[in-house]
Amino acid sequence: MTDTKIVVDCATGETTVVTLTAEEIAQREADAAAFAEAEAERVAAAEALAALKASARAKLVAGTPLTEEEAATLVL
Amino acid sequence: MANMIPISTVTVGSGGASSILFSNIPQTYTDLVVKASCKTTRDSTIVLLTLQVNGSTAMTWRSLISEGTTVGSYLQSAYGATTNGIGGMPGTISATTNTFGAYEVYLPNYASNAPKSFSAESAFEGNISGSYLWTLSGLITSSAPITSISVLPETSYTLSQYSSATLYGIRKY
Repeated sequence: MTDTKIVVDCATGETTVVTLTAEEIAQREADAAAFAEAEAERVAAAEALAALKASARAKLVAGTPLTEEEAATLVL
Repeated sequence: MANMIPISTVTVGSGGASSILFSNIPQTYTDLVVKASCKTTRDSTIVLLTLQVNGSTAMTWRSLISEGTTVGSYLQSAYGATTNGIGGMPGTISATTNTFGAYEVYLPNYASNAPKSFSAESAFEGNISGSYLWTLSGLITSSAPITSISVLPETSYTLSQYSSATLYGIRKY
């Protein structure tokens, strides 16, 4: 499928389907790569926090000392 | 009493489209409203629908997102300027085959030469995967009058056939 955008000229009412330029396609690909990278970072951070919380809970139950990082996930 | 006047409506055809762009917006109204009904061709439960003004994403926003799923409900807030999401949009998984998200963006004083605030709200029901309700406020940091508005899926995803958007002008007389 060719990448297209729909452009409406509100002054004339004319609607055209325009094929994306190579520049626009490159921008979309760059945006997709940046988004994938940011999303991977977000997921990794969320997973790390969940692991830290799980570790903190397990240590609390076992009565063993928590690290500063683990304590920070439980105490404001 | 304010009058809400349709300026233009677009419906996406069978090939899909990467974006809907309203260009050469008349500067003769007080405010603008965009109402849209969209879904994406991505094989996923949710993709962000985003906003560009004058071809730019230079805006900040704060959103309140309520998400209900089969296992519970969640409320979260987000702040950022990277994705400019105005709401979640259903993908093409089977549960959302005929489901379109609903979106409304209100842009007051769009023809002014000052940074402009805007608000948006949206919702969609994802059937088995969850339902989403977004409310957000934002600031378009550019002082240029708004002459074009695009709605488009995040990154390189595509709007599905029958997605549509209508631009309205508001006159307060």
